Formats: sequence, structure tokens, C-alpha cells
Amino acid sequence: MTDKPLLSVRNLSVGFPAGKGHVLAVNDVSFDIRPGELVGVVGESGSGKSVTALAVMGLLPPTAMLSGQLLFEGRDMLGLSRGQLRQLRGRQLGMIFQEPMTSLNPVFTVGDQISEAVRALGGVSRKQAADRAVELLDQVGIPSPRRRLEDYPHQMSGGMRQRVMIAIALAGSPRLLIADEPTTALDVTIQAQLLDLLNGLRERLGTAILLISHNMGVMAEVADRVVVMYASRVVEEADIFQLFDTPQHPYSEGLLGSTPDMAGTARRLITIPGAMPSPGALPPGCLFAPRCPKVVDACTKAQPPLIDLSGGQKAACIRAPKREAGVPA
Amino acid sequence: MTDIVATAPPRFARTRATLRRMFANRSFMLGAILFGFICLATLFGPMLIPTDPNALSIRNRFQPPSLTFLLGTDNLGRDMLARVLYGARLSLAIGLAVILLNALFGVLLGALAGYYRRLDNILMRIADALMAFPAVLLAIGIAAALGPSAMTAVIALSVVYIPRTARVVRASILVVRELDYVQAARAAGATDLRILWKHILPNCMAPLIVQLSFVFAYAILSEAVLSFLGLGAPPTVPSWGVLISEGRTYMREATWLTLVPGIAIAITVLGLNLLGDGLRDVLDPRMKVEQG
Amino acid sequence: MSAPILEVENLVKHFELSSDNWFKRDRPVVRAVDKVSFTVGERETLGLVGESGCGKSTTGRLILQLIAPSAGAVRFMGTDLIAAAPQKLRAMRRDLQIIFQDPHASLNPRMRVEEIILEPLYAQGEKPSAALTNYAGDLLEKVGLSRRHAQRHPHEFSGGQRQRIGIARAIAPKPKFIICDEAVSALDVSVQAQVINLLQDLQAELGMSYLFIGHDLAVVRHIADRIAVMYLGRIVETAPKAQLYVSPRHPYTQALLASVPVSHPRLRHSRKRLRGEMPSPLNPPSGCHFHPRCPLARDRCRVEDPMLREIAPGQTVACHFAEETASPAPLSTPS
Repeated sequence: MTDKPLLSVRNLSVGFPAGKGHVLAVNDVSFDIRPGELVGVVGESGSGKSVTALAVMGLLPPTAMLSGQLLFEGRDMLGLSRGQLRQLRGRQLGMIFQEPMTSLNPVFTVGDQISEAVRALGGVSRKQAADRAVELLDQVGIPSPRRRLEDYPHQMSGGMRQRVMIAIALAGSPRLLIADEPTTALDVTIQAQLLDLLNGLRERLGTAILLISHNMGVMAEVADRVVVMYASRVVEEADIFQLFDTPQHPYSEGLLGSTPDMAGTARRLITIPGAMPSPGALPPGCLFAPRCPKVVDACTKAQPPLIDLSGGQKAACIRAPKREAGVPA
Repeated sequence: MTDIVATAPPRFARTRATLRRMFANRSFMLGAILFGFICLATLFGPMLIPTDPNALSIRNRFQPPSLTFLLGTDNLGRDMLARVLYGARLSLAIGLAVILLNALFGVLLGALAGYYRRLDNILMRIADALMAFPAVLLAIGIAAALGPSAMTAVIALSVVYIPRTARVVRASILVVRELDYVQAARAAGATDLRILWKHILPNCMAPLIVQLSFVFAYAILSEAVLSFLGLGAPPTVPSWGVLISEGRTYMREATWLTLVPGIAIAITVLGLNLLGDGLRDVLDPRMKVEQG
Repeated sequence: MSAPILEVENLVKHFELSSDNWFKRDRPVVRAVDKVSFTVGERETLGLVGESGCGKSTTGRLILQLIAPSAGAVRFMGTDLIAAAPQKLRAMRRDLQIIFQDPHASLNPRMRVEEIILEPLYAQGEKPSAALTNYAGDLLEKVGLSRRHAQRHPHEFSGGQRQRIGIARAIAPKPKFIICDEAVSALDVSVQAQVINLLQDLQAELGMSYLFIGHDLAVVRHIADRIAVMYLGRIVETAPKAQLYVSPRHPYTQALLASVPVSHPRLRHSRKRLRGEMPSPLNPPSGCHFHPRCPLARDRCRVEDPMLREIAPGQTVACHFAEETASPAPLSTPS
């Protein structure tokens, strides 16, 4: 694994018009993904995680206002023309969405849709495209792939359809796969199969993966590094072990505490009081302050920046450096 | 979907939001203006222009529109402006009667079919049979059987359009009846009547209102056809259809005799259709954009 | 544990689908719920878990008589609800309430919160009064909302708040039993935890029983006392919580537990995943429904339905080879 990032998100902000002004769905977000790495972005509804993913994919509606940089191997994707972006999307970026039911076209066979994706890259015959489709289906673990080419999406289960979506995303052998809640609509046994598949793809093909999820358990299963988002901002970024062992932001801590788990005897869940502020009515200072169990006066004065802590961990909490140094706050 | 803490003002927030969407909707506003203009003219026109619509004046036969006769006169010298304003009353009254009957029976039959699945098959097959005939042909058939009168037109048009309204009501009831809040009411022991009245019907109103605005437009159009064929209002009461029918003989010499009521119908129908389109956008919850 | 408040016995629901062929009489039948039996004791929470399409939600609706069972008995406080006269059933509904999954579909958008909460009382024939209005305010406070929310409409609330309104409605008639149908599945994690704790607190305070229907085994573990696992319309295992999560005996339960995301990255290990997906209930496999995916499947499983039998105190399993499934690593030999 080299240290040069494959994708580098730099100070990304995304605004949407609302009423007379606009609201920021993503506010000053930065993180890197290195080749072959699986980076998770975790957060609840309204945290801005999905908008971040859409921004990286270049799929935001035209009303969205973007600032910052999206550097793919050093090239800023925000400066690319439509054609260049399409080229990049086909060959370097693959995408998977939450709803495998609606992402496939019901009137074409699965084989047609994968071949279509292969042929869109250019330079292959119909026959070659079909062969590649079989190869792709095999790669995503669909049994007897040649027979399944003739199937229509409605003949497949949700899990199978999601595998087909992954096959389509892999058509151009992308270096980065962006998966937005890919297992949320699926049952646990199928979710487990798909997480194994994503992990396997990363190991076999060296594909880097940006995984968006609300589920800390999913992160614990597959992520190398996790970016925690809250109300449009990054509140913590950490290695997966660091995050679970020594979360530095009270929100990360609360999120972990409120996730029901299978370890030990069932405990009473730790809750975070209240709800996430709406993007139109943000509190002053730290956005988490109104819900934070450890809030101090200074928290409401200014938005704390994301501070570098030891071991590459970062947290946007004014108390993080002290906590890390073992000073009781 | 964003979890937004309740911040909206407690009362009338919903109504106010709906009103705001209405004013922002161009189709709705244009339709409301056109149809509102026709309604106002119908209500107050005869007061402002007190000319007797049936006063004959042989001297003034076939006067083209002028300052004296704003919309001209007909073959018997009757003032077209007065006649078209007066005729509007009958046309709109017939339309209104049709949508009232539609609202009543459409909701009743639609509710029965949508809520009691056993009745559904019977009622909907009857509706299918009625809807298999072209609307106007069926109306003509019924009107011919009953003999011409304004009441005939109302009955014929109601028979034609009630099955269509009932279908719309039934469709939305089929959706709403499966929603969790209806199931919750059933689980709590609410009676069928209470469930229909408190939980289902209030949530089926939007498509019904839209449908009724279209039925109003069709009714006015079809009434004109019936009257034109002599199957609607009698010639003594000039509805718009009657006016067109009378003017038809002189279409070459006096175009305004057909054009004036024709344009009146066109404005009304266009206004109602725009209104209906706009209402669909304003009231349909699926069109509401939620940020998330 | 005292006498059960709810006994479900051999409950069956067959849905007839409309046939593709107009002229053919025989219609395909989905066996959504196939001879399901269980009991729920007073103040007890039974978790009913399974994957989508296993029949767990249908079971909940059958108990409430929202859909008519094809066969079986549902005895609630000693009365068979299926055979009960309509008036009797209606009166009993006061003690049997439901909380739904989708907080956006479970509240009538045209009603004010107060009307929504008091609807179960009005449905039983009570009339609006100042006392009831006051009671609605009490209920709102009990579920962690404010009195002044009573005059608002559902759309003014967040998902978590709406779910609290749904809970207030369910506890309004002071029921003995509440069916929680995926009641926390649609909520964000931090809100989900709040609602789980609320449900537990209310149970402790009001002494109700819950049937907690869910697909998330981690969530169910936090709230249930006993658990029943469903697969393709049948219950395959029931056990007290401690036993089920520590020593599951049905191969499906074992696989289901192995699929739950780990609670710490240190626990990652290459586990044997369950192969394939749940077959369509339209055409379930012969014998044991699970045999096509089961690592232990043998000839007997293909022909003979396994019955639920007690394998340890309080633990029943529907597997011919339950004796061989005791841990460790039961799923290591795919055949």
C-alpha cells in the first residue's frame, strides 16, 4: 500500500438553495482514500454522508453549490469537463447504491445491462462483452453465471440484484468503488455475504472502497478507517481499532454506546438525548454541544476544528487533546 | 429523510403551506383566474348588463360586435352578450349539479368498492361496462331515452362520469386502507364507519377534488354537445350549447354567433383543466419535495 | 412465570394469489404462516425474529385479527380471539395494541396529535372530554414529549418523535399486551436507542407484555426475554435469550447469529456464511424448509418435517439433528 492517496477530498462543502438563502449539507469535509483501502463514512440521516458520496460520484443535482477539491490521483474532478468526467467514471470509479430494485432497468436482461456497461467503455465486440459479463457475474459470486445472463431483474432476489449492480460497477475495473448504503435494504445473512464480497474484491483486485453506512457494525466488519460525520461536518476520523477502543469525540462515543450489540450480557443502551439539528437551524459553536453530555461553556463559543491527535486520529472536540493526554476534563 | 425538530407554528401550518404552494403554482393561478373570471361574470354579469337576453329586436338582426352590441346580435336581434352571460348560468349550473352528484355517489360507490372487497367485483364490473361506451355517445343515448331537458342532461352526464369518479375514489381508498394508521384504528376496535369517515376519506380528498375539477370541465363540454344536438336544455333557455346550435345555421354570415359561446366554453374548460392540473401538483403528497 | 397472557396455537395463514390463467381454478398458495405456536407470559417480552418474508409480521397481524387466519387459535387472556363474537373481540382490543415500523405511515396526517393518541379510546366509544385532553398531555409527557405538542399535526415532528406519538397511542387504553412490529427499525441509531429504552421503561412501569417483531438480532437481544426464530413461515427455534445467543441449536439460528455485524473490529474472523437466499414461500422446499442451505442436511431432512422439540430446558428446536449442532463451529462442514 503506497501512501499517496487515490482520492483526496479537500475542504468539500456542498450547499443547496433553501428559501432565500442556502443550507450546507456538507461543510468543510476532508479525508483521503489510499489505493486498496476501505474507508467508511458513518453518520445518521442528515449527517451529510450521502451527499458527500454523491459529490464524489459527480451526481449532485445542478442546483447544488460545491466548493473545495476532489482530487483523484492529483487531478481535481470538479474542474473536469463532462466528457472527461464520464471517462473517469467508467474506468476509475464504480458506484453501488442502496436500492437494487430501482437501479436496474426492468425491461432488459441482466446480461444486456452488464454488456452495455462493458461496451460503453469501447473497443469490444458483442461476443467479448457477453464473455466479460459472465466473468463479472462470476467475480461477484453469482452461481452458473452464463445461465443468469438471460434473467430479468425481477426474477432475482434483492441480494442477487445488488451483486449484479456490483458487477456493473466493476465493468471498467475501477480503482475506487463508492458504495452508498449497499446493504441497508437487505437481510442480515445477505448483508454478511455482500460485505464478504466487498472485502474479497478489495483483496483480489486491490480496489479501494468508499463505504457509506449508518451502521457501526458494518464498519467494524470491513472498514480500515472511518470518518464520522455529524450535521454536515466531520467530527472524527480514525483507524477502525482506534475508533472502537478510544473514540475521541463524544458523538462517536455516543453512537457506539447506542448501537445494540451482541457482546457480553445485554446492557441498557446509552442514549444521546435530543435529535440532530436541522441544517436550517444550527446551534452556535460546536454543532453537537446541545446534545453533548460533557459540554463546557467554551463549546458554544466557536466551532472546534478537526485536530490531529496521535496515531493519525483526528477529532473536532476542544477537549480531545486533553483527554488524550490523560488530563481529566 | 432529515430528522427535523418540530419548529413549525402549531396551527394552520399545513393549510398555510398548501396556500403558499397554490400561489406558487402557475397552472393553478392561471386556471383560477380564468375560471374565476367566468364565475364572476356569470354571477354578476346579468346585473351589470341588464339587457333582456330574450328581447327581440328585428331591426338589429345580425349586428356584428360593436360598441352598442359588444358581442353582436343574433338572427332575432337578441343581444349576444346578455345571452352568453345568461346561458352561462345554465351551463355552470348543470356542471355544478353533475359534480355534486359525482361527489356524492362517486364517494359512496368508490368507498363501498374500495372498502368492501366483495362488492368491489360487482360494482367495478358495472363501472367497466358503463365506461366501455364513449362518454358522449352514452350521454346521448341516455338523454335521447329520457327526452330533452336540463334535468336529462344532468342525469345523463352523472351516469357517464360517476363510474369514473368512483374509480378514482376506490383507487385511493385501496392505497390508504392499507396504511398503518388505518390498521392501528382497526386494531383499536374502531367501527368500519368510523375508519372510513375519520381515517380513510379525509386522506382521499386530494385526488377526488382534482377529479371533480376535470369532471366539471367535461360536463360543461358534454352539456354543450347534448344541447347542440337538441338533447339538453330546451331552446327557450339559452345554454352555451343551445347558442352554438342556433348560431350554426348562420356560421358563414355571422361567425360571432358560434364563436362567442364557443370561446366561453373554451375559457371555462381551459380554466378548469389548468386548475385541476395545478391542484394535482399542489395537493398530491407524492410531489412534495422533502430534503434529506 | 405465571400463566401465559397470549397463547398462539398452530396458527396458519395461506394467501391465495390470483392465478395467471383466468380459466384455471387452482390458484397458487403462499403459506405465509405455517403452524406457528408460541406463548407470551405476563410482563414478558418475546422476540420474534427472522428475515423479510419469513412471516413474522403476518403473525403479528393474525394475532390482532387484522387479517383472518386460515386455521389455528389465538388465546388472549383465556379467550380465543378467532372464535370470539365481534362485540367481545372489539372490547378485548382495548388490551391488545400495536406499534408500527414506519413512523411516517402510522399516524393519520389529517389528525392532531391529541386525536391520534386518544383514537383507541374513541374507537371504544369514549367521548372527548377535558379529562381526556388532560390524559393525552400526561401520555405525551410519559413518552418524553411535551404537553403543548398535543395540538400539532404529525408532519411537524421528526421520525423519532412520531414513533413516540405512536407509542403514546398504543399505551393510551392501558393495554396488557403490545405488538411492536419492527418498531425501531426505521429509526437512526441514537434515536433507536432512546426508543428501546423508553419501551423498556414503560414495560417496567405499566407491566405490559410485548411481542417484539424484528429482524435485527442485536436490537432484539436488548429488549427480549425469550426469542422465537422464524424461517419460511415456521418457527425453527425458541429459547430464553441467554441460551439462544450463547448456544443456538438450529443451524439457521446459528447462521443468522453469525451474520450479525460484529460489535468490535477485533472480533472479525472469517466465518462460514450461510449460502444462498431464502426460497420463495410460494414454493417452499420439501421436508425441512431449511435443508437446501443447511450444512448438516441429509436425506431425512428432504422428506420429513422436523417438529419443534425440547432439547434443553426452555429451548425448543425444529431440527432432526439438533443433538449434533451444539457449538463450537457448527457450520464448518458444508456438504
